[in-house]
Amino acid sequence: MPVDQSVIATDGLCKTYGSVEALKGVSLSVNRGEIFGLLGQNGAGKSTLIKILLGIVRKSDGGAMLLGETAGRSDIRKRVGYLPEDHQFPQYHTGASLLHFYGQLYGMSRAERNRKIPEVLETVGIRKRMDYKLRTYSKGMKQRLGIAQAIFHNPDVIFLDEPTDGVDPVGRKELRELFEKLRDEGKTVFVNSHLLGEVELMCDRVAILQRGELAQIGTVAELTKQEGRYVIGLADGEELPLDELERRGLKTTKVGDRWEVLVPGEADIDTIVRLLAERGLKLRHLVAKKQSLEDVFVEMVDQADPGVDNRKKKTREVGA
Amino acid sequence: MNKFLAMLKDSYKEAVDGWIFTVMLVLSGVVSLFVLSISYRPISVEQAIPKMLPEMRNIGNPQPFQMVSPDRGASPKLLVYQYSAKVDEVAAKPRGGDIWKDEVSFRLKIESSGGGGIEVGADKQPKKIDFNAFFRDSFTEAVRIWAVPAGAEKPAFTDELAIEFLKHQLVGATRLDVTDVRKIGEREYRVTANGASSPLAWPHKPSLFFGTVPLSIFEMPLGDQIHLVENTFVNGIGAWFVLMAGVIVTAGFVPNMLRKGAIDLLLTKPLARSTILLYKYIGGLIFVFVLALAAYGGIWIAIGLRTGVWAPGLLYCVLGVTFYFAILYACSTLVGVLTRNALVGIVVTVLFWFVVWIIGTVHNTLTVLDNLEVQGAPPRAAKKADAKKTEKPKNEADEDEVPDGPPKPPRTLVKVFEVLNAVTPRTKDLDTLTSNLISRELLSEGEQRREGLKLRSIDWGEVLGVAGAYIAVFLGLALLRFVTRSY
Ligand SMILES: Nc1ncnc2c1ncn2[C@@H]1O[C@H](COP(=O)(O)OP(=O)(O)OP(=O)(O)O)[C@@H](O)[C@H]1O
Ligand SMILES: [Mg+2]
Repeated sequence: MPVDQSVIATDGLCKTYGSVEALKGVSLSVNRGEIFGLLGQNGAGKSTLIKILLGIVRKSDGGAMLLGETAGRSDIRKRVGYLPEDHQFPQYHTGASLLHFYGQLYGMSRAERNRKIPEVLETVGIRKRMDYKLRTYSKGMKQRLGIAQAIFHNPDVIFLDEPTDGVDPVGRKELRELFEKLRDEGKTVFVNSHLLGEVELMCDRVAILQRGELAQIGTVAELTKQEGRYVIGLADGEELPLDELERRGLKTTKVGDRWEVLVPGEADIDTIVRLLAERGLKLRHLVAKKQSLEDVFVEMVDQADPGVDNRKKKTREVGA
Repeated sequence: MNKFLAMLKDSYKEAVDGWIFTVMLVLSGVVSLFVLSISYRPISVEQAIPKMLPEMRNIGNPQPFQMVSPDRGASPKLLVYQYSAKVDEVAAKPRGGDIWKDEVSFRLKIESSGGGGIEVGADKQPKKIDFNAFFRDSFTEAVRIWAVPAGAEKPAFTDELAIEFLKHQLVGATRLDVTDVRKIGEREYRVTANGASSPLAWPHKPSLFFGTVPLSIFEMPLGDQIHLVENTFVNGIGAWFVLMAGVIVTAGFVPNMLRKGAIDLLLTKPLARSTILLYKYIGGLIFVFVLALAAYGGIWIAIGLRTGVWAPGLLYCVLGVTFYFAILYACSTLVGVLTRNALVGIVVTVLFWFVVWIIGTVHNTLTVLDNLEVQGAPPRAAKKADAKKTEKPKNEADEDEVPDGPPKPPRTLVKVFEVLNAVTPRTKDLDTLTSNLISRELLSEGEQRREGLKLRSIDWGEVLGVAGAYIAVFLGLALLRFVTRSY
């Protein structure tokens, strides 16, 4: 596959469950070798999007392509790994026997399975428990097994619906490194997550879904960048000439013993620096303020509608 | 193929995970051991011969010796005559081997009173009482009817004919290797035989728990005893247990597979949805096949070890019960896909099973009642219901003696059940088929004819066709739903 071709592409994707519109025309594309994060409130439609791409849920309208094929076709599934949310593995399996079962369904030979299964279980840190029945596994262990089954057949695209749910902090860090390693191997990782800190750390690009619509999409840097917001700190006891700045049309707010200044253009910060020098004030701290992904997310959601992403029910069309 | 095996193995793991499978295996083990503890001892020649020609107590439950087919046994017609055979002066010439191989001779006295012949079946009519002619001597009549070729006149009764007739009837009823029948008096014959043709024909005395509890009342030919165990206990009660356990265990297969978070994992594997469901279905069938094989096979081996009889009929029944289950499991799969609830699946399937069983049973009973007909005296209900029906010319001489026929079931009821039976899987007929597989090897020719009465009216292509159509429709609907649904 050419490097520049998108691995995942949706075009005006729609899904309605009865009267609930879960997706309302989502268009996005994900490139090869990318870790892509999909964010959104509960019920925003994240899982629905993944399930349509995997053919678990039938789309209502629009297009969805996976690895250059119409989503849902069974012949590309060999090249796809998937960790569902709230997964329920059959309790009568052991970790190893489950992977053997799935491996057989993927058409892996016995030799290949015997080699890969202990290896991948080692990677996710549950190799010692591989011969225990799954009903004895803790939540985090099941989650690790879920990740193992999503990656062990060497897929090109990996969908992870809340992959670190229930995993301890050390484990999360290891998993993050694992995903980054997979990306570096050229795999595409598509992650749904509520852990924004984590997404910020590992995702190359991020999209935010809101009420079934794409609200934002871009690199983490693009989403978190804020035009002209700087934090200024002066030497002890010195005060910023607020009246002078106001006269020049700059908004300032005091935060602790520092000031946040909003400047319209790149160049304008230099005029402030010059002004401070003219007044003989000692500049001790100057940074361009970056938002965290969480700030962006919360701000966006607060504007919209706090709480669960609940939509009003579609009003039934007359005669439909 | 590998994927199929993987799905099968998964179904197997799921099935053995529950306690029911283990309980069933333990149960069949216990029953097999119990059967293994039954020992059979051939009884003495003096006791055995009379037991091979039991008295006919009830004309509705005819004994093979009194069942006659015209055309020297070649006709499909079967008539029962009320004469009785008294056996005495039994003498044996031991040959040093098995008792049943000893040369025997005995006196056979035929006692014959007047009485009707009952025609118990020809072609599609399972039972029909023929009181058309009341004979002063049913033995004479039986001999003449037996000798008559199709469409010809009844020959006159002669002693030679009677001897030929007795030879034929004795072989058919007792499986004795009859060498000679000689007339020694009025209706008295001396019969000599080279023992029985098979130990199955010889009455044995069973005792439980390795000979500690003798059961004298079951002193019947060995074949009949094995038939009782295999047909009544294994293929009757045992099959019921296997089917019930099968329904309960497998009802969870589909709903468990469809649970949220579980189905996602399966649907993303490189298998078509239809394949997944069909594999699941076949997995259930194989589960019941294995269960039945364990239960039936264990008992079959126990019987073989104790009697030396390795008749494979019971093993064929494993396939019969699996096919029966295939109908039930198709229903259960459809309900599972629709409701995703194991309990609803069990309830609906058992209900379906019960309804089909009731329809079959009522239909069989109604058919028998409907065909039960005293000729010359139209049945009471039919008289009223169908006045225009042309009546056969009455036999004037017999008219006084001919009783009224039994009350007829209402026509509409019979018709309704005929239709119902035609459009539901005829599981009753499947039961008959498996019974026949068992009796074929164990019973005498005469007994088989009696058992086979029910078989004659069954069109196997139709039975399997209707059952197959049910499986196809149930599975088709289940697939349609499963393939198009969002999970
Ligand atoms: N099977 C279903 N039937 C009906 N409605 C559904 C179904 N699955 C999802 N929905 C609805 O579709 C909308 C989107 O659900 P989805 O599971 O995609 O949300 P999500 O973004 O994954 O939420 P979460 O963060 O809680 O996992 C919700 O309003 C949900 O109620
Ligand atoms: Mg979700």
